[in-house]
Amino acid sequence: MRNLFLLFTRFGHILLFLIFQIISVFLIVTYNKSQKDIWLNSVNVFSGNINEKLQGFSNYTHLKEINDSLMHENAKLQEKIINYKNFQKENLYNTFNGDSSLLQYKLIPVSLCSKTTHLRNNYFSICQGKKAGLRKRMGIITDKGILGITTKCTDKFCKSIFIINSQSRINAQIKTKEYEGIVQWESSDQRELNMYSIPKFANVEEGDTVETSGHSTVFPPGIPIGVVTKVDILEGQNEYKIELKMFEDLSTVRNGFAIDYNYWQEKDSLIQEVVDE
Amino acid sequence: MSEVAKYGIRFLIIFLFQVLILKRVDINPEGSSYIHLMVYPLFIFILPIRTPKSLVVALGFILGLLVDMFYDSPGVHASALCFTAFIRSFVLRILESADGYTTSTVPSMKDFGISEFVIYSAILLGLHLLFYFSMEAFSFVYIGEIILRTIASFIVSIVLLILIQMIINR
Repeated sequence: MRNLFLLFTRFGHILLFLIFQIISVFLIVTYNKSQKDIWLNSVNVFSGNINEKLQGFSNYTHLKEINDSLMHENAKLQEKIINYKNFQKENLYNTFNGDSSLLQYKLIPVSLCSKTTHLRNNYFSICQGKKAGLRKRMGIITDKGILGITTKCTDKFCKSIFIINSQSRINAQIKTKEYEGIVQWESSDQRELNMYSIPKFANVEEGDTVETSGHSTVFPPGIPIGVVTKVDILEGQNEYKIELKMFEDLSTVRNGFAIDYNYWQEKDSLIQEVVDE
Repeated sequence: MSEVAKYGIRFLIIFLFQVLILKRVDINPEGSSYIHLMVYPLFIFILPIRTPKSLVVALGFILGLLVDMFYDSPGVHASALCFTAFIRSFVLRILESADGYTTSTVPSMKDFGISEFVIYSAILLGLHLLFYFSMEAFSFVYIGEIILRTIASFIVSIVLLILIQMIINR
């Protein structure tokens, strides 16, 4: 207590000075018009700046949510396009009316947790699993091409085989020509694919686009894969060896869509029965 | 006459002289307002050195507030005089001679001598005016205006202040 008193006798005038200054400034800005205007203006500029900074920061913290919502929106749009294309292919004389029973493909937005692109057998994992509606043997695509097929799913994660895996085989066709072949990865370049089983009378040219055929339950028709860069006819055989360049750069991919085909069980079991017979 | 009564009377005289007489005197050239006559800080200047610093600051604030009432500018003079009262102790310490002050020293013309008193009051009045005009403008955008007013007002006010001190000092 005595110390406090001593402190006040020592520095009390500084304290008093500060208090009186605060009171004075308060009086000035409350009762004097020109000073009040300057004060309000300055405070506005100051608080405006602070608000702007805060807004920027909160925008930054909301980026993930915004990103997620955009992904969902993209999934919706892609879904519409895919279903529309599929419908057109199956029904040449009807018009698409958006009836939900006609929507055969559903898209689920996914993000990649990890991936390898430099090995012979490359895999990637997805941060969504069974809880998000994923299952085994679903195709994973982006807006520029296909990524791969899921092989095993847990509740929260999925392991998938990359298209640049020496074991991956994708049914594909040359766009506008409708000849079907098989796309696989043989080179060490992660942007190049090979395509086989196209008969040599198909008249394939460099610059043709290769897309999925849609004859499996994994990929819908019309998803682009790549562009033809080189055409060879194998010696003594009846088919082309085609080199493709992929549209998508797999080393920078972060997000994609999983494709859910509504009638996959029906179609797969039918194919299985035919194979069994 | 006790000290308190003596300084009470000086307080009243200086205050009334400022608000009743100097407020009505306008020696500015037509259409300008650079010269403000201000002698009321004199009361703070001539308080005895042994006066507690807190009391000096408080008296400065009260006198400033009273002046503000007559000048219709709540807070401006109070802020400035409070500031002047606060820095008085620093100025006194800088001007302190080698043998220092005795307890009964009063910063007046009699104790300080004329030249030292002029220097002392010139420093304080200059700072007071600078602070006052800064507060009045309330923005350093008008820094040129502030300095011009300070210089113009200072020249006239310091002469008046010395004259009044000479009268009171007797």
